[in-house]
Amino acid sequence: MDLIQNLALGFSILANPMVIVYSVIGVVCGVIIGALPGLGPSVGIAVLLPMCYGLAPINALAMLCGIYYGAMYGGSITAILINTPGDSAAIMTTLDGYPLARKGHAGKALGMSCLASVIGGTVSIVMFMTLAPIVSNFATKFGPSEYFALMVLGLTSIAGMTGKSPAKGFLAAFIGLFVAGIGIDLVFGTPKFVFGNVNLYSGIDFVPVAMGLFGIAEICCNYKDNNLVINKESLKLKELLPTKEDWKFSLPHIGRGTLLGFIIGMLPGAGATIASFLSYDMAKRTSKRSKEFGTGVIEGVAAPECANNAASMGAMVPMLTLGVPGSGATAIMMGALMMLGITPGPSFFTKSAEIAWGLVASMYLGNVILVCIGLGALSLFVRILNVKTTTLNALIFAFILMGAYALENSMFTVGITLFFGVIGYFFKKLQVPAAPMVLALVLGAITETNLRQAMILERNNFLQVISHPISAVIIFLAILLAFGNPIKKLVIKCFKNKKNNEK
Amino acid sequence: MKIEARQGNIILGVASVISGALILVLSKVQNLQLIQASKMGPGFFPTLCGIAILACGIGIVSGHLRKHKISKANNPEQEEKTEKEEQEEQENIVNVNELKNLALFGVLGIMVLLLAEYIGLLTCLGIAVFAYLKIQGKESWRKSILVGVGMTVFLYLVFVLFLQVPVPTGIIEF
Repeated sequence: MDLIQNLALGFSILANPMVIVYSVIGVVCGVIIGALPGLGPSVGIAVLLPMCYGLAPINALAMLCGIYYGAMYGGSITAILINTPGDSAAIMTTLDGYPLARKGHAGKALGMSCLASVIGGTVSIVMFMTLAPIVSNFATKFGPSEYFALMVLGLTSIAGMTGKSPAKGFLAAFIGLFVAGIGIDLVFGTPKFVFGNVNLYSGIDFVPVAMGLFGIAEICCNYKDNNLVINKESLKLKELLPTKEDWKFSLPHIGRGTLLGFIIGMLPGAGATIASFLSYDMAKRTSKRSKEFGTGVIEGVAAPECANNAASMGAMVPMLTLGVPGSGATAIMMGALMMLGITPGPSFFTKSAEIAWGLVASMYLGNVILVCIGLGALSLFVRILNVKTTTLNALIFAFILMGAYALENSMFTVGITLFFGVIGYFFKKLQVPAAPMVLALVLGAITETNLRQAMILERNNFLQVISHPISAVIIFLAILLAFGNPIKKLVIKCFKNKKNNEK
Repeated sequence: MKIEARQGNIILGVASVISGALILVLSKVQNLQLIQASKMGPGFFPTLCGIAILACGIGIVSGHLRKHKISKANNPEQEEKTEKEEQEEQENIVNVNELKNLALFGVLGIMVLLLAEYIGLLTCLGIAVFAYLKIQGKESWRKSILVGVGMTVFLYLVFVLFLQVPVPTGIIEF
């Protein structure tokens, strides 16, 4: 009953037409950015963050969520049309989406991708609104020790799971933690690494860093054109709608993929890419025509697409209820919330109930908008993709610098953005993931504060801090996630050596 | 100029070791104490980060050397690279065009930083868009000017009129 009342409260907030307007802006921008090769939800949210400046929190949140799931769908457009995924979560969509496009069924693949994304998104919102208050209630028992452990879990899992080299992931995370520590010390008031620069006294905000690492770095690397050539006839609305047979093959996989995606999305560090990979794999194993996978079967598009949208919703659960973002995109969203004066965590659903339930309602609305825009304006998005990359780069560059200035009305933030843009470029070239750095930057101050509070409460006994039952379990999980693979390899090696010796 | 994956890893590892050491030295120079008044001092987190960055650097270099040594030991006579190895190395190559693109953005960014106070931020951004399209995009004068002016007007409408951001206007007062 409470759930329905709360949802009604959320929908009453949607009576404000501005929420709808910002949701539409978010979805449109998200689809465009997601469709551009290389630009994913993290870049989209980072680049468009300054647009939230001065907006009412619910409007800003509706726009950011729109960007998030718009970008998740947008990634599939180029994956299907030119075999180039817009972001990593759309990689699996290329396997059957592109062969379908080559057979002349691009419209059908794009239509199914959009509808599967929306079904995945909508069903997972139901799971989100059922689960979020329960997790919130449980998390009210957490003290500084448990929060410190949670932050460690968030940091280690992201750093350990991103990219091929865990050392590079951890390097990025520790650089982020270091940057987060620049400024006046919270307890003693001592300036740290400011070198007399007044602008550094209040620390380095995560937004210019994220804009530089994701936005500037991307446009520095990306200067080649897309050369998109497609049959416009296949993008007519009639061609986009899947047939009864398509639904018959796809619906069971959409159901399974959504559930799997949501669960995977909730795990810190796993994210939409892993969700879409596992969902595709599961669909391939369970499908009646598993042998045809990879040659252009419609369920091969539906399964990863619903899973990546469901994962993006799942990632909202730990971010909004515990204050621990599970991915780069949610880390940027969490920073945006803090910028708007909202603190995500256990009290979010009680203290900011109007915003929280307004956000849930705006998610439903966003999915309806995604269907309308995704199917209705697809040919327009495809036309935008044909704009020369250099033109888009120039426009994004100007927008980012203006946005960086608008954050604090200071040219210093513009300089910070450019500086981290160069760092981000070399990170990309050296395959150092940028997401752990942004995550550490967002969580750094919170981690430090909680650790210091916990240390004061436990009379400077670190062992006491990590031996609280809940914190001990969380720290154990963090160690397992971070060092699970090397430990597994070591154990296997030991067993092999033992067997060889016995022989 | 080409940087291969293997060189890149060594450069990254060495740079990380130097950065970590620098953080430790600077923490000492600034007198940031690890423990102060029997509590965690202001130097605790920077020192922890410095040590960790240094360790990650050592990890990257040693991991790379170990991988290289193992692959050499397994195939001492194999001269030809596999297709996968070739592809991996290609992925990391920093080519001249990309560096030119980076340098152009760098120069335009510095121009915006230096001139915004004098000729106005919006004017600077318009010039930057025009210059990038003309130099990197090799667009016509007409298109470059149109897009530059169009973007300036768009930024003015969104940030100055709608979001009320007080931008530096300089002598042009725009």
